[in-house]
Amino acid sequence: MALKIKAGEKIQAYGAASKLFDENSQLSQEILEHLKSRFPDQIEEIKEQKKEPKK
Amino acid sequence: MAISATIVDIRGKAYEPVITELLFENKTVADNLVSFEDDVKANTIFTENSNIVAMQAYTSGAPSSSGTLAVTDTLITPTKLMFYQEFDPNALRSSRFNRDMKPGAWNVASSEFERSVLAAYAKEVSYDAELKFWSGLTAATQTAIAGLSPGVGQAAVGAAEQTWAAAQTPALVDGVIGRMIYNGGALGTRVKVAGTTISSSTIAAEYAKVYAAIPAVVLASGEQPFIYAPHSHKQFINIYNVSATYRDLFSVSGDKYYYNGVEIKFVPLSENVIVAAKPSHLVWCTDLVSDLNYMEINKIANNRDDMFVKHVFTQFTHVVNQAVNVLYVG
Repeated sequence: MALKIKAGEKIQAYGAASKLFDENSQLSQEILEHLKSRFPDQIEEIKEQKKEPKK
Repeated sequence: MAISATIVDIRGKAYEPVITELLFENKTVADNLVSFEDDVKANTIFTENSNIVAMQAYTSGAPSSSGTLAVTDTLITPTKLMFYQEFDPNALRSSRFNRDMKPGAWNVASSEFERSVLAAYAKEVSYDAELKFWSGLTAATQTAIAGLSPGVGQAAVGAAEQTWAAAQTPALVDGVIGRMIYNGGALGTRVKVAGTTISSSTIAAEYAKVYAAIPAVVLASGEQPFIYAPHSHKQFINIYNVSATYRDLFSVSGDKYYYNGVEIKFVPLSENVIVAAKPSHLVWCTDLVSDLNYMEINKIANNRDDMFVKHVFTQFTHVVNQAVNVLYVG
């Protein structure tokens, strides 16, 4: 399941000198999975949009 | 840049000390926390030797060679670095610093300014060099680490290691963490420990992971290793010890901290990163260590009165015996 940082959340994983990650940070899924293990409340799964049934 | 000053024209008294920002001192240099190699000008070869011996059955006939005599050379040219800033002492003419300016319109030099403001600046330069020695990461190494395929085992870069690299603002030199993850154009052979967020409540469990990962031979032979940890861990340990029934896990003696008998040295490592290694395995290569303490203050030109302050030094972080050094990244 693809992950992303929640909108409005900022993660600074390695102290004040490290970069702030946010929803716009270009991070691999492996990195996001790792961040989820440390910051579970700030990472969410990308929900697949339901396809509208064709009329 | 010029002096950034918010000056009140001095009329009465000035509180005697100039209050400077609180800074960590460069204890890596002051206390010799790692190995220092002076006189590394350029293209200096560092050689590592690791042998494998193989016992074999005796034969009176032609023996066959077995084992390995391995020698690995690393060519090191430290990176030449500089800090340079210009300032105009005339801007201080009406400030507190005029008290020790000599009479005469020519004289605007203030020994108090040099003693307090420039000394604090020099201290910051030294601390920045120390910060980069431990946690620096060049853009090239950052890209290289991002390009590795992550995995759980020792032979793959850890997702935590890649996360750490992605979180760094590129610097001009690689530090200890970067060199342990990526060294000599390939993944470093460090002992990898996958960690998590370290706090006062998790610190004992996380240090246990680091301690368990130290190869037994490192603890059993000669020079003892240090656990290098971020400054914040001193506070976490003190908080942990308040509620610990027995304080022999993290023992504290004066200003010395130990985990299971291994001394902890607090250095500017990134948060949630710990290194365990013999000090001789972490090498600060430079032309002259005292270059860090030398700053030149002079007029910018003979026909000008504004001045500059300049530091020039070389620096290179080299990690030897990579396979027995522990790198914990949370």
